[in-house]
Amino acid sequence: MLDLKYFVMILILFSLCIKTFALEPISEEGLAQVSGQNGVSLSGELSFNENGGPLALGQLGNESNIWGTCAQKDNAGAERCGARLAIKPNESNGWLVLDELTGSVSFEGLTLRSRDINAATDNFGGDETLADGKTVLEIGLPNEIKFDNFSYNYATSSQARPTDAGNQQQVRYGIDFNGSVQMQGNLLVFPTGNP
Amino acid sequence: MLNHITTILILLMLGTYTQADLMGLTESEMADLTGEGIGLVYESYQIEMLSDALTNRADGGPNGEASNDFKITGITDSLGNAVDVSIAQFYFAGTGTNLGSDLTGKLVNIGRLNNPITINLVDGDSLSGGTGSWADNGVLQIAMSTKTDSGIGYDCTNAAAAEGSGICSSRPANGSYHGERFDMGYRFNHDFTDPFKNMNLNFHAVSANMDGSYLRFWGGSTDINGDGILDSTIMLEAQMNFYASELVFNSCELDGSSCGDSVGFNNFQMELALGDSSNYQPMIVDITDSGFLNITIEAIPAPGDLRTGGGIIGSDGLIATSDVISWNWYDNYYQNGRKTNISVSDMTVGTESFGASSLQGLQIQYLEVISRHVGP
Repeated sequence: MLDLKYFVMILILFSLCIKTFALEPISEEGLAQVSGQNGVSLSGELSFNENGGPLALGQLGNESNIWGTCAQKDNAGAERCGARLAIKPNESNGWLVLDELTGSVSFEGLTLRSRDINAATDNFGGDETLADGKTVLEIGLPNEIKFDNFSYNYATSSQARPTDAGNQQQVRYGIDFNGSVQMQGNLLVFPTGNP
Repeated sequence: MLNHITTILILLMLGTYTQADLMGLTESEMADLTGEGIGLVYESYQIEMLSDALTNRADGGPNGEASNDFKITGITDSLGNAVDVSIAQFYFAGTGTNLGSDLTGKLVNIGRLNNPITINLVDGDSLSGGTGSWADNGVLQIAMSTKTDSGIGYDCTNAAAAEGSGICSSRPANGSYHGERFDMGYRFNHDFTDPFKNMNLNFHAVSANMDGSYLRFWGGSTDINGDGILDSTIMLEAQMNFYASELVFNSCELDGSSCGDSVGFNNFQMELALGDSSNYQPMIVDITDSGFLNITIEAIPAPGDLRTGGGIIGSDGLIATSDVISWNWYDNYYQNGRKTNISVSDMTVGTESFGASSLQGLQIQYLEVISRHVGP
């Protein structure tokens, strides 16, 4: 004999499932009633591995001072801090490295929206005529990008990690940016070509 | 047991009622898909960095914003002391900036809607008829606007070029639209430990474009470390074009005051060809066991190599004493292989003119660049 509570549960789930039809297109009339804004505005801040990550001094009993938090580096307790991105261009030898990526980058007013090129209102020196009606993704670039102790070294290295045995690294150059960069304009993104 | 039966029933019901969501595309729907790669156009673009070192600009431009400091690190002098190199100004904007001193309203489009910057995956076989280092490979290509027909193109360096005057796609601004030619420049300040050595170096490009430039990447195999075994590696071919109505170099005080005479290059054209993969000369980037950078453009195949037809070339170099297929392969290499060209119509120092200068048809048969540690 089927327990009543299971029977009820099956009935409930059955009724829920009946309503999971495929998505239906909205009619022209229905679309005309939709008045939502097109696009989003983003602001953000990126910062990079301030706390040292799993290879840092003191993490999981790690006694090596090759890598630590940026506070440890400032106190001369660790040789380096921040993020590291290493790319191996071939299977035989070493690595191209962005090393000690630290600090932060912040921006305000990055916008994303879809936009139809309009020959009547856009001015691309005549190119807008052939592209009339073409839909593009418009990325509105932020007016200001702020760098706060944003720094990295570009290096070439014999090993992926500085903690790996036998690592030898040559720093090519680095940057250390503080302050703001002014910018304006849009980046338009669209598909090209015929497959 | 009942629990399992119930679960199975529920899962079966879910499956039954949600299978209608994914549908195959019909042939006609597939035919409507036209995307292959990505096109990019910068519209009304401008960017500027100004450091707080600029406090007294001789060119009348705006001084830097307080606490702006853009350092380039890792550079030392011959005694091992750190050299404090910083970017006092960087700008990239529309034309008419008067060497970066007035960016107000100077906006530029980079790429055209009908000839944009592109990021594409290209069939390697289509690039050189099924031969070359990229045969049977997909090639990732990042390209600026391509050159165009002379009937609709623009002279590449003339800042007032009209339609039909050349083969560049990028247009000068004409008052009613921004155009695709840009002004850009850097001001570098070098602070040495010994302040008498301090110097500033400025570089400006006027009405410039990079039409026809591209960077291609693909995967291939070659012996990199000399052990006779092929190594998988990333391969590259690059075309770096830079055209400018004028390049200007000068030097001022670190605060932007008291500038000296300028060195100018008028109608500057650089077409730098790095790698020639159609002729089996890709560019390879490698890092040695000591961490040094090694950039190689592979050597042209030697006579007898099967890729050239496998035949010999006579000691007099003439076709009559050579294998015809191999001779024609080398003839095609020298006639049509990728070549580097650099030219200026006039070089000036202050008010003195040094006239035209050019380097044409430079072909790289083999190149190896290895970095070394030169510190004390």
